[in-house]
Amino acid sequence: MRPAEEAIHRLARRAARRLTLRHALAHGMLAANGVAVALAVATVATLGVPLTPVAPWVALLASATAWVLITLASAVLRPTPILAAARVVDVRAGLLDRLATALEVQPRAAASPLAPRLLADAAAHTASVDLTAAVPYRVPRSWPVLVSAIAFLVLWSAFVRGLALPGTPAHRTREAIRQEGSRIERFAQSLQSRARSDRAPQTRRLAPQLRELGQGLQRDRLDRTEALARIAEMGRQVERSRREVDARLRAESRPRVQDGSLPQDLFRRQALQQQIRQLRELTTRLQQQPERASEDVLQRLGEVGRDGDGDQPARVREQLQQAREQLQRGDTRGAGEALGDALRELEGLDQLLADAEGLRGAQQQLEQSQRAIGEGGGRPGGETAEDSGAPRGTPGEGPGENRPAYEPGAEGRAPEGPYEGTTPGQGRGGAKLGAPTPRLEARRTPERLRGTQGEGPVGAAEVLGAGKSGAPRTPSAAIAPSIVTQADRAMEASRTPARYRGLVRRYFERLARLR
Amino acid sequence: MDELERSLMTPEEFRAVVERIRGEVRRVMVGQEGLIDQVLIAFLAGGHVLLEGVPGLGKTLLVKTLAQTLDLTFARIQFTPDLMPADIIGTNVVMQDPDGRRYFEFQRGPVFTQVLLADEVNRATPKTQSALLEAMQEHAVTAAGTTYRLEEPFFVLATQNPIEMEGTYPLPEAQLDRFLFKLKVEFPTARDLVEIIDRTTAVAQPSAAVVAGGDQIREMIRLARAVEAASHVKAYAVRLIQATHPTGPHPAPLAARYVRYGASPRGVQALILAGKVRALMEGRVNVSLADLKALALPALRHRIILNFEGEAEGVDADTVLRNALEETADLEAAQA
Repeated sequence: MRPAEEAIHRLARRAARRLTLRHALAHGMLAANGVAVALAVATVATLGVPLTPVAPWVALLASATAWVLITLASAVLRPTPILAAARVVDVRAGLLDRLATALEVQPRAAASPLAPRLLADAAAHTASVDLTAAVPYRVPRSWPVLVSAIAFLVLWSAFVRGLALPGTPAHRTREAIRQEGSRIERFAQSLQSRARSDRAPQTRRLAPQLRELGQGLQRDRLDRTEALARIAEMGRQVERSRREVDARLRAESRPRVQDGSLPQDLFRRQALQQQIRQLRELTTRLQQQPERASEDVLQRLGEVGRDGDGDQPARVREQLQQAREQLQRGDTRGAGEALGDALRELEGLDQLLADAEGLRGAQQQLEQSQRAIGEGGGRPGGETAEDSGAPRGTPGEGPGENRPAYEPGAEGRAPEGPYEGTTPGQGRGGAKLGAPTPRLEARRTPERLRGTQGEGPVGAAEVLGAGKSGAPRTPSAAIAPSIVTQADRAMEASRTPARYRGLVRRYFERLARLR
Repeated sequence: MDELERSLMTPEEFRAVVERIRGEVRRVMVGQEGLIDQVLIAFLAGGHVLLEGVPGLGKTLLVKTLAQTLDLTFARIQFTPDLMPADIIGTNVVMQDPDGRRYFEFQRGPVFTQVLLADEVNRATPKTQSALLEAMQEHAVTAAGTTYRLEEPFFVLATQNPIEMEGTYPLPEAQLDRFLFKLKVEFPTARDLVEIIDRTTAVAQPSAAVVAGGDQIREMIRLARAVEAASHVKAYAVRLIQATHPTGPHPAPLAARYVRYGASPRGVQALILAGKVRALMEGRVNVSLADLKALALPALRHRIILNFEGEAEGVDADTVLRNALEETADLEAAQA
């Protein structure tokens, strides 16, 4: 290849590489725009559909990923042909098609008498071409779409996020979140007061956070995912605390259960509280009447030891045993101290059990809320985890209680209807009223319509009126094509010179106006 | 090929001759630079020109001056309604030899020339106009069964007056199509008019010198045909022609509405051939899209037949062509 041809090819190849990258970037930008706009549309759809609005950074990341992938794919799969690149350089650098023609002629230069001159001419002109100016790298023109879409998402996230149109599934989900927030708050209030009375430290620490969660669910405009995430985060905290409590309970419990899971009924709080009450009573009696009470106390201590044989920690049993031995020796003071120690141990255990119970309740509440929000609809009434254990639809609890229990997704659920008026306590409304009747078919008595069959009389009259006069406003182009063709043929058949056809037409138009 | 290359005139010589012709014509003609260039392009492309303009704009002067500068034979025919075909191509006349025997001898008409000015060509009857058809297309004349070749180069430059239409016969489409260009002669500018006064009312009258001969012109025509046109340039010419056809694949909007028949295949030939000459005149050996765009109006305006609606609304072929030029996709430019 001669130097002139080499120069031409080199320039064309460089231009092709630049154009390939430029086009690839443009395609990538289109893809990024598509992703960003689609996510923006999906975000707008959250007004009606319970979807999670896309965070701006997620949209940015997705768009960037699409940009990179499509740019790479386009660069690899759709390189710009050298000839096409040469045409672009011709236009951009004002080469008047020298480069493209030279590239095209070069393979058949031997057959073209002017080919050497053409190649030399093209090489001379391309030598001064500044490719960076002719085919510059630039940001694709459609970048404002991407920026607008991301800006839209940022603004949406800041000001509109969480809004839902009334009557839409998104609105129902939003209401479900509020309801669950309200339930969690109420549960947290009761849990807090109970924890205060029980002096359960973990529960007391977590109850305000639970309450804050409930308030947040009501106050903030959250979508389903966010709400579930918050609940899940709270659930993890509760779980951690519960594990701590369980671990301490295991440590306090007897060695035989250390390896296994903690049975639910291991520490029965009622039994424990009973033992605590007994020990307090015995301790008081020992302090008030040490001589008279020792025999009785000794006997009661044996009962307490037998009652709590399965539940008491080893240290408590040892202290009780020690107290018994001291009483047998007549050391009432030492026995009292040992009983006091055992009492404190049991009270600590009681607090742990209160914690475990409260935390378990909190966990249940959170799970129920998660389920309700996940299903998009609330549970009936204002039921919380505390009162969810109560039997539903029990007859005799008051007006309206005969309404069938609401079970989400249950088939054959009777429509809300005339259950309120049935006598309370006298069985279920459904059984008394029979099968529920759809309201629109309430009247089933057929009515006969009077009339005669067949069509009635048909009236027709010719309406005459004055036409509106004026010049025709329909352009000839709008006339039916067949009419135009006929007019054309008529004008040709009349051998009217072309120059006069306009005059003839205007003449006839004027005639039409005169008429 | 080397032999062909050696036998060809160089592009530099081509330009030099063109410059000399231009210079000589401009000594006589005032203004009308574009017109002179376009007539030269048509001439060097081996085509014929139809000049349209009001009387007194220098149409005849241009042709006469061109013939003078090229050292070519020149004839002028004033077309009138009573002009007969034989008045153009010639006729057999009865002759008598010294022995008293009579025989027919063909008397050549004015068409046997190299530069023919057909003045007011639309005043002759179609029959007479058609007498030029064979001469223009085949560069030959047939009379009484005998074909006579015309001397090359053969160049017809016809004129017609656009305002005095009474008693005229518009050229038939077949004949119009044989003209490479239809040029419109514009009225001179005020400055040109002053210059015309100075040149034509003084004692000394300017005259043109001979700067090229018939052989040189033939070489120039041959060289022009060797100029390269890239495939995308040809494709553009085809797209442009298609855009003038209302029933074509991609008609321009105005063509679809106002045109009955678009440009013929001769139109695309004319475009490319004229583009080659223009490229050489511009110092290039390749046809560019700019050449085609510059020559589209003169090369195609007489090949488009408007429909009744177009004529009634006063649309002219130039408007349709400009629309076609705007609408024809120059893909490369769009990509750039």
